[in-house]
Amino acid sequence: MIRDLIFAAIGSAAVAVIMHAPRKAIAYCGICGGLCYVLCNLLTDATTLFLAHVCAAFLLMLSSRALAYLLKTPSLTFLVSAIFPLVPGAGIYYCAYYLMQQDIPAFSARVMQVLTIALALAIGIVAGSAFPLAKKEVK
Amino acid sequence: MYDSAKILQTASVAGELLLQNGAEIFRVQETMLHILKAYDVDDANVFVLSNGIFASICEGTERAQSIVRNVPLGSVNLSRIDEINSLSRNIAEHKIDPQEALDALQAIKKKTYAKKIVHILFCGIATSAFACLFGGGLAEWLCAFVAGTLLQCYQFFVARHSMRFGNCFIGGALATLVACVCQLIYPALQVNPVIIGSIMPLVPGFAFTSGLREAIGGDYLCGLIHILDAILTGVCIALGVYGAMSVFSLLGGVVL
Repeated sequence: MIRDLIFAAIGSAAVAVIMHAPRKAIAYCGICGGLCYVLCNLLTDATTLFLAHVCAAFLLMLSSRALAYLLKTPSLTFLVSAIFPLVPGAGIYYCAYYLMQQDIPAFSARVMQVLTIALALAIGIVAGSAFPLAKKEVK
Repeated sequence: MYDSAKILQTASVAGELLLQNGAEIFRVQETMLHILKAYDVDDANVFVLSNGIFASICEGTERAQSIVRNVPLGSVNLSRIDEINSLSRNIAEHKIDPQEALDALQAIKKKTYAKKIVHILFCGIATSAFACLFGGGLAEWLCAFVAGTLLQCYQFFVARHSMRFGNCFIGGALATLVACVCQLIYPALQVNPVIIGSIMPLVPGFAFTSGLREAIGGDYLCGLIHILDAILTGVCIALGVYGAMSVFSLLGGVVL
């Protein structure tokens, strides 16, 4: 789990650098990404895949907004880089893999899983952005 | 009272830069309206699409102005969005002269951020970290680093912006090829983590999420555009991986 945390954090921070995030924000992007990934994994074990991604995205959006308020940087900065470990990249690969193996049931299950995760992330983010946090906020 | 043409120009340059560097639709719209409002323009209409901006101010008066801007998609640059955000807050608070604001915007537009070599290096770091996250070890780490740097080099030096989906296809194929070639050299290598890690920077996770977010928020047009864009990108990556794997297994080399 510690290993996951570290690698997810490094990955998110590196993605933040690729997207030219402001220097002061990069470390926070990494921390957010790592924590959210680990949280999502723990929740997936405890509940369902869908609920885990909703919760992780919800908390990610809230923390992005809190950080945006504290650092006076758009919440987009943290959101877009920290969501990378959660995004179903593995799902896309396995879609191609099972298509290649001509295992159509596994392929369609994977496609549905990718779409489910994406929908869950979107719901989490919408819920997170609707949640009231502070009166005057930096968008 | 400032010249209305200058005011609208300032607002639309800010909007264009935001949109080009990957800001969300609502942010572009709000920033433009904030800037216009700061210059005491109350009668303003701003309509933003994923690749265009339409705006008109002071309709029916002598100061009437309107603009249409075509905004081709660029690469994401969060620093620029951040700087324009601060600038627009500055305009709202201190009423900077439109010309000064315009100069500041041009400076932001021209400013270069991280060097290409840093970019290439960090793409390698990202892909290798994701490869480890999805179950890779030291060999996979190294291989994904190579794949990531190659991918970024390809995007910098070979890729053309007019061929976005082609780029994703080739990106997926490139990642798969590197992984398969590495496996030929070092047979104990696991291909899966390497490929997953290497395609991670291409995956349109944010486009899809923000598309759904817009659609849920009621902006169906932009939402659909982004969702379609994300789905096509994802399909292209998968096809690239599929294509490269098929070629490799046809050549009889690798057991996946």
